[in-house]
Amino acid sequence: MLRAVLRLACRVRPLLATAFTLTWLGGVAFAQTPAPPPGGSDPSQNGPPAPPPGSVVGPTTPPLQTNPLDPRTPVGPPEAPPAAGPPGSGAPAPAPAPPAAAPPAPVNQPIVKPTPGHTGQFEFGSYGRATPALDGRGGPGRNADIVAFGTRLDEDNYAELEFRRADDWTTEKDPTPITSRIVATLAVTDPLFHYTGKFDATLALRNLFIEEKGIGHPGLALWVGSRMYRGDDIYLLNWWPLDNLNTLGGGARLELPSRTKLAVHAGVVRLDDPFQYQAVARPLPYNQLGATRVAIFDRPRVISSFRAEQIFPLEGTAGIKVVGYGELHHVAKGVREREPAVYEQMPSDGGFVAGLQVGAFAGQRDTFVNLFFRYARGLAAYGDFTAPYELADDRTSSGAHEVRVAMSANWEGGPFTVLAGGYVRSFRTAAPNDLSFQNVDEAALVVRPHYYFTDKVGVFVEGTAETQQRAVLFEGQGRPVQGTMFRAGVAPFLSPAGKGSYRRPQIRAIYLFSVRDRDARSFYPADDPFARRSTEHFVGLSCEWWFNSSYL
Amino acid sequence: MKRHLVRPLALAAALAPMASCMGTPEYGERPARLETRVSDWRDEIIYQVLVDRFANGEYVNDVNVRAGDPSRYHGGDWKGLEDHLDYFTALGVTTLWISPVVKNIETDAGFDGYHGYWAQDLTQPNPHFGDMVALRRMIAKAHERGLRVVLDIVTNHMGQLFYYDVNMNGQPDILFQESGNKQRVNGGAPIPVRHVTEYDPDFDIRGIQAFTSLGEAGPAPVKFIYDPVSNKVPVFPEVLQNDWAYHRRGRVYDYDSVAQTELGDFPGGLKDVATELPEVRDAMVDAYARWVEEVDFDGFRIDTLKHVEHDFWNDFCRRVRERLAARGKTNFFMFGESFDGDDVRNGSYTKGTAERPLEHGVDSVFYFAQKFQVFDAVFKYKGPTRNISRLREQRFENYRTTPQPGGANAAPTRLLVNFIDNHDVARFLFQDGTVGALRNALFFMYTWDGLPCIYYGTEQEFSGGNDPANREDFWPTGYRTDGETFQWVARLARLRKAYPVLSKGEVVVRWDTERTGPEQDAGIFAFERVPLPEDVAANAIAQDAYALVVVNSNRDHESSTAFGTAVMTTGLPEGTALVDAMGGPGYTVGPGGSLTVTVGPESGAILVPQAQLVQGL
Repeated sequence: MLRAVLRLACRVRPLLATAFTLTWLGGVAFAQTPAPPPGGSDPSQNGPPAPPPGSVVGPTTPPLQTNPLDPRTPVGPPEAPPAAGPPGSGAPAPAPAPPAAAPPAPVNQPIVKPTPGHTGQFEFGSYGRATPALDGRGGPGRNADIVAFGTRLDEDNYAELEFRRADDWTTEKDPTPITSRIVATLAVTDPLFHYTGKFDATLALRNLFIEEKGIGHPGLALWVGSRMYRGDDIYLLNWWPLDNLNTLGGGARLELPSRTKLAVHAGVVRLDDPFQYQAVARPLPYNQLGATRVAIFDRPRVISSFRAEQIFPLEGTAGIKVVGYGELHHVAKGVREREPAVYEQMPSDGGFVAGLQVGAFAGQRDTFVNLFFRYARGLAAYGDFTAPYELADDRTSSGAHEVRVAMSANWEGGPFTVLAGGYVRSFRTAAPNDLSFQNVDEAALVVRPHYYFTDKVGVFVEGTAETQQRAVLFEGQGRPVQGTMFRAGVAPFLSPAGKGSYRRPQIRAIYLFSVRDRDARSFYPADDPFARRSTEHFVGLSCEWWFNSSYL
Repeated sequence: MKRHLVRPLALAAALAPMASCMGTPEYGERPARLETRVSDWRDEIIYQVLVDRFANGEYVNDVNVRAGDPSRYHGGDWKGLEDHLDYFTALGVTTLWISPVVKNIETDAGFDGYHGYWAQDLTQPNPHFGDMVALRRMIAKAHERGLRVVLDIVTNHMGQLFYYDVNMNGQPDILFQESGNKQRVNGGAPIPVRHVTEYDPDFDIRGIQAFTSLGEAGPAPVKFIYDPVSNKVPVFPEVLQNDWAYHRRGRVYDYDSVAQTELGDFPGGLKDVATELPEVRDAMVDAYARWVEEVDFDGFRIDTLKHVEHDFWNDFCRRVRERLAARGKTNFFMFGESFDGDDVRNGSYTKGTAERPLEHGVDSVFYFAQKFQVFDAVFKYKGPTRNISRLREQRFENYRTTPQPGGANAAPTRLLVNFIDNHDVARFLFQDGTVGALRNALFFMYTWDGLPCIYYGTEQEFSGGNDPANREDFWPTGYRTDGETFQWVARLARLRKAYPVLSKGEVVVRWDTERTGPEQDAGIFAFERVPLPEDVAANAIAQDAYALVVVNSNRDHESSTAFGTAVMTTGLPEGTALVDAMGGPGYTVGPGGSLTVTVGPESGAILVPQAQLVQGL
C-alpha cells in the first residue's frame, strides 16, 4: 500500500511542480488588507523596515558550491544580495528607528498620470559592502572559512543597485488600494576596477519583475519575472537557511488580516551544465557553409514553492512566528550526446524540500530568535543554482539529501547588542559511495556582541567556530577528515544611523585572527597558502550599507 | 474602413505577389533529358581548370577564403567560369575539365579542401563554388557555346573522416614508439624511432594494428571524427558511414605494391574505400551517375585510377554507361588518372591484364608515360626523339584497340589524353623549362595522336612548382588573350580544327633520332597523319587528307629530316607539293617519296598538300 502511494506520488510530482503556478491564475477575491511595510516580517511593525540583514548569501547557497573549499568552485560564492529588506533576521525586526520607518522618499516627482488619481514614482535602493584588507603578510585579505557559511567579516566586495518604479493605481471611483512596482536590481561583484585596473565588471541582473497588489483582494500580490525569492536569513552567516530561490517565474502572495501569509511560486532554472543543457555543433541545413550550435538537450528545472506563515501575537509587541515551507523540483527526461552519435538517456528527476521555522520576537529593537529546520531530497538537495553531481546509478539525483538545522538571534539592550548565528548541516550526494569528498557534515557558530560608546560609535567582537567533516580518509589514517577553525575578530565602527545590530550604513576597522588545524589545511590543494599556514590575519577596513531595497 | 487598417492591408496586398514569386528558379531542376553532345572525342581539346583558382564570380560564397595562402580557399567558383566562357572559346579549347564539385572536408591540418579531392558528401555540391543552380547554369551556358564539361570524380577514397585509434585512448594522437637507443645501449644497432600518426599510419596488410607498450593489441578501432566546423561529419552516401566500407590498412608507401596501392589510404589520411563491396559499388555508381543526370556533364575524369582494383572499373564503367544511355546520353567519355610511368599498368585500365582482361574499361587515361618520356625528356630536357617512337610502338600493346562497349566513339589507343603538366606535377616552365620549349611541346601535343589537354595557366606562361605552387590564382592575368603563348595555343587549336587529319589521322612516324647534339637531324621528329579507313568510310574525313608534321626539339640549331646520306621518305608520290600551314617554306616530294625538311630550333612545320591549305590561320 505504501509503495503504491509512493509510486503515485512520483507520477504526479511533475504535475504538482507546475500546479502552484496555476494556483494563482484563477484569481480569487479576498478581503482587503493594507500592505505590510517592507521590512520586517512582522506585519505589526509598520515602521522601519527591518534592516536588511544585508546579508547576502549566495544566491543559492547551494550545498557545496558555495563552499570555498569546493575544488570545483572558485573561492567566493556568487553573491546573493540581500533581497530587499531586512528580512534577514527573519525576525520581525521591529526596529523603531524613525527614519527607517518613514516611507522611502521619492526620488522624482510623478511623471505620468495615466489615470485620474494615479500616483507613481521612481525609487532607488541599494545594498553593498566593500572590504579593503591585507593578510598581514603582504598578501590580500582573503575569505578563509572552511564551511559553506562562516563569518562574513572577510567577505568579498559586492553591491546591488535597485531601480524601482512604484505606482498607486487607486482612484476616487475605486478606492481599493491597487499598487504595482517594477523592480530591476543590478548586482556587481569582484573584481573591481580600482583593484585590478581592468576596466570591466562582473554584473548580474538579480531582479527583473513586476508585482501587482490589490487586484481582486487587497492582500493579494501577483508577480512575474526574474526574482530573488526568499525568507528570513542569518545575517552573520550571509545565508537564508530555509528558503532562498532564484528563478524566472511567477507567484502569488496573500496576506490576511489574521496575520497569515500564504505564498506560492513556480519558476524555472536552466543552468549551463551538462545535467540540464547541451549544445553541440551541427552542419547548417541546405548545404550552407559552416556549422552552428544546436541545443539538443535543454531541460529547465521547474521549481515550485509554498510558504505559509502565521504570527501569534504575545503581550505587547512581541509575538511568535511560525513558517512552514516546501519546494518541489522537477526536470524532464531527455537525451544528451556523450560523444558524436553516442547518446545517453537522462531520466526525469525531481526532489523536494520540507522546512519549518519557529521564531519569537520582542517587537522592540530587533530582538528576536529564529530556529530553522530543513530537509531536502533528490534534486532539491543540491539547491537551485547547483546542478547535481555524483549522480546515482540511474543518472538521477535520487538519494541525495541535505539536512539543515540553524539558528539566528539578536538581542539589544542599552548600549549592548548581541548577534548570533549557527547551523549544523549534513549533505550526501546521490552516489552510493562510502567515500566522497562531496559528502559533507559541517557546523558553524558565530557570535558578535556590540558595545556602543555613543549612539554613533561602537565596537564589536566576533567569535567563530567552524568545523567540517568530509567522507574521505585523512591522509591514510583511517578516519574521516575533519577540519576545524577558530576565528576571533574585533571591529570598531561608526554607525551614523544609530544603535542597533541592523543599523546601516556602517564603517569599520577589522582585525580577524584565525587558527586552522591540520585537517583544515588538508582541504586545500598543494601550494595554496592556506594549505601551509595554521594561522591567518585579516586586517582591513569595511563598509556596509543598505537602504530602500525591495523585500518581498 | 478605418484608416489604421489601410496600411496593413496595403502592405499585405503588396507582399502577396512577392510570395507567389518564390517558384523554382531557372536551372533549378534537372534536365528533362540528357543529350549526347560529342560526335567524336578525338576532335576535343581539353582545358583543365581548378575552380577555386580560376575566377571569383560570386562574393556570397567567399567563406573562409584566405587568398594569400596557397593551401586555402581562394574564392573561385562556377559563376567565375561562367563569366569567362568567352576566354575558353577564344583559346580554342572545346572541353572543360573542372575540379570536383562534391562537398569536401573543409579543412584538415591547416589545408583546405579547395581542390575538391577530399570528399565528404558525394551527393551535395561544394558550397564554396556555388549551388546547383550555379553549376547547372554554368554548364548550360558552356553547352550553348559549344563547350563540353567533364566532371572530376574520385571513387578511391574519401577525405580525412576517421582516425585509427592505435593506442585505443579515444583521441587522435601522434605516437612515438621506441627510444631509438635501446639496441645501442645493449650493444646492437639502434632501432629507429617509430613514428605513427593515427590519422595516417603506414600500410599494414593485416589492417592497422593497435599497440601499447606491451605489444600489439589487435585491429585498431576506427573512430569517425565529428566536427561540423571542419565538415568532418557523417559521410554520404550513407553506406560509407560504416567502417567496413573502408580497407583500413593505412597509408600506401610502396607504389610498386599492387596491394598497397589498391588497399592503402591515399597520402594525407584520405581513407581508402572498399570498392570491391557490392554496396559500395552501388553507391558510387548511383552518386556519380546522378551528377550527370542532375547537371548534364559530358564525361568523367577519374582520379586515382590505379588505386582501385580493375574489376571495379569493369563494373563501374559498364553501369554508368548503361544508366546514362537510358537517359539519352551516349558517347560519355571516361578517362582516368593512373599516375605512373609504367605504361603497361596505365593501359591495363582500358583492357585489363593478361590474366584478367576487362570487358569494360575506361575510354582513356592520362598519358603519364608520354608526359615523362616525351614532354619532359624530349621537349624540356632535350632527350632523343626516338623516345617518342618507342612509346608509340608500345601503345597498341598496352591499350585497348577497340572502343569500349557503349563507351566513347573511338578506341583508347586513339583517345589518350596528352598533357604537358597538371595540378599534381610542377609546371613545364618550372626550373628548366623555357617558353620556346613549351610552345614547341604544345605544337607537338596539338598535332600528335590523342586529345590535347591544357592545364589552366599554361597559355599564360605560369611556372609554379609542385603542389600547391602549381595552383596559382588566374585572375592576376586579367584574362588577357593577347599574350604570345595564348595566341600560339589558339592558333594551334585553329589548325587542329581546320585539318581534321591532325586529330583523327593515323600516325606514321617518318623520322626520329637518338641524336641530340650538333648533328644534322638532332631533335628532329617527323610523322604523317593519314586518314583511317573507317573514318573515310564514315565520311568523317576526306580520303586524301594528309599532314606531315616535323618538329625540332633541339634548342640550339635548325635540323633536318636527313642524316648523312639518309633522307626521310614519305608516303607521298614524287612531285607532290607541300606547303607549311605554319607559314614556313614549301617542299616538293622527291623520288621515292624522299623529302628533306628543315626546321629551326624549337619549332615545327605542318606540311599539307597545297590544295588542302586553309588560309588565314
